[in-house]
Amino acid sequence: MTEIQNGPDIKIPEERALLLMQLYEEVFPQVAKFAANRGGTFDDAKDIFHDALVILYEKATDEKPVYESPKRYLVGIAKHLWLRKFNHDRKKVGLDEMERTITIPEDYFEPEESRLTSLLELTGRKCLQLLRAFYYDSLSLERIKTTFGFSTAHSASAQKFKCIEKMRNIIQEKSMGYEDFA
Amino acid sequence: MRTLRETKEIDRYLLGKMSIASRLLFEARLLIDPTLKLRVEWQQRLYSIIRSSGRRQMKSEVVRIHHHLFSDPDKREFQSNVFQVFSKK
Repeated sequence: MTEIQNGPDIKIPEERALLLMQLYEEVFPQVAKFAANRGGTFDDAKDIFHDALVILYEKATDEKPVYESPKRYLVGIAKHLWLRKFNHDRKKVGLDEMERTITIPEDYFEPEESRLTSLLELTGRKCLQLLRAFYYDSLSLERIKTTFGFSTAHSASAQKFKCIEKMRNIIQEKSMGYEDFA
Repeated sequence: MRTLRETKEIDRYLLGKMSIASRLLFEARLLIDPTLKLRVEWQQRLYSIIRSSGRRQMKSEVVRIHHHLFSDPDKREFQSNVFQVFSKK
């Protein structure tokens, strides 16, 4: 279930840009108004909205309310992010029934390993691209096969595990080098 | 091939795809095999790095859209709708 309202598919990069653009145009003014009414700035609204779009994307593969009404869902995520950021009184924000069911991914605000992430993005670009397609974008094996030009689904899957081992070895070297001397 | 099999096992363990029996067995092995335990930790770190990298990429995609919408003269109505909201203060 990756399709949102029979329209463009958020999981396909070319269609995603179109869909995100539509959502941005239609929903951002609403979020901006919400933020402004509560003393927020343009940048507050923008930051929250950008995170909300990322989270919407992550949820789009498996949560029903997302593809039933992506716009309302997006507003709901933004409200939750607002509550979190400004510690506002829940009652004053007024979440409806659907909005109350929304959760923000637990690790979303955990600090990322930015040095290691940048290093792997640099040295293992191809592998990381492939692994993102599998693990972050949750693309089907078939789609990955075509996108990355593998001859069979099996070879795509084999390459995935080679990449995991390669990247894991880099992480191992780095963590040994930095801390595990004792 | 031994490592490949193990990598696949770790994958299934971390993604919660193991049956209860296999998971318990695997966790018992973790207790007695410190190297396996480390490999699980590194692989888990890799998965969170993949997520960070995916999020970075999505964010930059969104930022591109933002720039487009706020610089395209055809989107003037959208722009003024948004700015109006903040100028009332």
